[in-house]
Amino acid sequence: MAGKRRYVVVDDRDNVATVVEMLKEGEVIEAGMKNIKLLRDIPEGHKFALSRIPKGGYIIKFGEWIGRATAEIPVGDHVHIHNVEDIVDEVRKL
Amino acid sequence: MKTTFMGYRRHDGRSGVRNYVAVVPTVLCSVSVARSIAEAMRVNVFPHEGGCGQVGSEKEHTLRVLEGVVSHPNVGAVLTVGLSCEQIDATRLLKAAGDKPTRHIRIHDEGGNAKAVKRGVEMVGELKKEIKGADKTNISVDELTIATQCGSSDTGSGIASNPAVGAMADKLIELGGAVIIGETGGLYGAAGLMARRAATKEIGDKIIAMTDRLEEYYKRMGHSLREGNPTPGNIAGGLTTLVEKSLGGVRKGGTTTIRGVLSPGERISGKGLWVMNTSHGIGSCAAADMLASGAQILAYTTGGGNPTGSPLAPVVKITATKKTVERLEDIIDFDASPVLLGDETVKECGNRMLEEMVEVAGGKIVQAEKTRHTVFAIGKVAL
Repeated sequence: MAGKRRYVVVDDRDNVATVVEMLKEGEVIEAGMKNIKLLRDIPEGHKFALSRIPKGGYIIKFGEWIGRATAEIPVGDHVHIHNVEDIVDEVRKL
Repeated sequence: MKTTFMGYRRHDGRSGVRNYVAVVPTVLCSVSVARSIAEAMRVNVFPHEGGCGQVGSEKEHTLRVLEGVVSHPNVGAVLTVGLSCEQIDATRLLKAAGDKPTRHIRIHDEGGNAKAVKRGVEMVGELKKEIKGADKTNISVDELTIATQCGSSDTGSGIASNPAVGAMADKLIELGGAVIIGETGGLYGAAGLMARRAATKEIGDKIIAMTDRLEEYYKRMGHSLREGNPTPGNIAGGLTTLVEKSLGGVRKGGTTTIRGVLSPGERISGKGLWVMNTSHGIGSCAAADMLASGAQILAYTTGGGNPTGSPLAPVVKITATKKTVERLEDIIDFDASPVLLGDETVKECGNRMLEEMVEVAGGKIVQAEKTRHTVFAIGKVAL
């Protein structure tokens, strides 16, 4: 698979993947055991949802919480500042 | 894997990977003369903006970093360049050099700039002779301390090159070495996670407290560390939250237990993973702080290709971005792009990177040394 990888899932617990190259709306991506249809264009370096994330649910990358969904995020949708809020105060505690 | 390298044994028991002659201005007023001497003799200079008119923690910080420089195991000989009326006492500084060959000049004593440069050049010539052919001995990798930093980061940094440095860090620590992670502002959003990884609750509290102090410092000026963070560039590149940015950054430290927290420029006193509070200092200020601790190598991840080297240690430039490897040949030392492209696991890349570090420790010249790209600065604010 030399040079063929198109997205990275950093940790098994993650519910988002980061794309290595721009992926197009409507593309079907193989992700583990399932196929995911992308609901929007995902620019290089951006994230898409590997599973449905309910409103108020945590976005998980690096196996850690990186933010909270401000709206329900369906599988294959772009996950970014339009549907995620920071949780810096929550996670800064010991 | 090779687990020893040929290095320099110092009087204090530490081991160096280089035998630099250091030209150290004691005060900002003598930086220009120091620079002229070092450039003429092709040795390393340590410019800074302190050494006089400083008080409290700022004054202590300047002295601590300069003591870290002259006592550093990568430094074989020292010339200090003073003015004569400055705050910093060169005698105290030279004491930190131990039994290394040293010289000291002051611009007033020499009769002005040109005479000071001429005398300094002669002295560096003498120092070079004195340390020429210094014995190298076989040194175990467990004596290595590697500092970590990132700059000009991109998508590949958080998900590939930083985790690969982390895997290198885990491996080095497993072999008995030490690793330093700094950049207080950068780890702000991951302070809770880092604190939970600390060996004791006291160490964890210190990690939270040092990031609180930095945020309070910004608040006193009516600002916040969170302002514009992640940056517009980060957001365009796909980073969504400050927490995400910080988590990507702290991956450089790997996964082991945090053994302690160091003040900016403080000497490291143990093995394993250490956090240094580099405070307000960014870039080369943070690098100077971490290297002054005694770390012999800086592992530096970069997406876009940051060129900065250091006069105190080889800086190994690591990128996961293939374009950067191909375009910036005289900046990049280590290609971590196979991780991003799926051709190598993070762990495999970490092992390969540690092998490279051992080669560099044994004398392999890095790009920043080849191009004589050195940047040195001491931060003004040590919180």
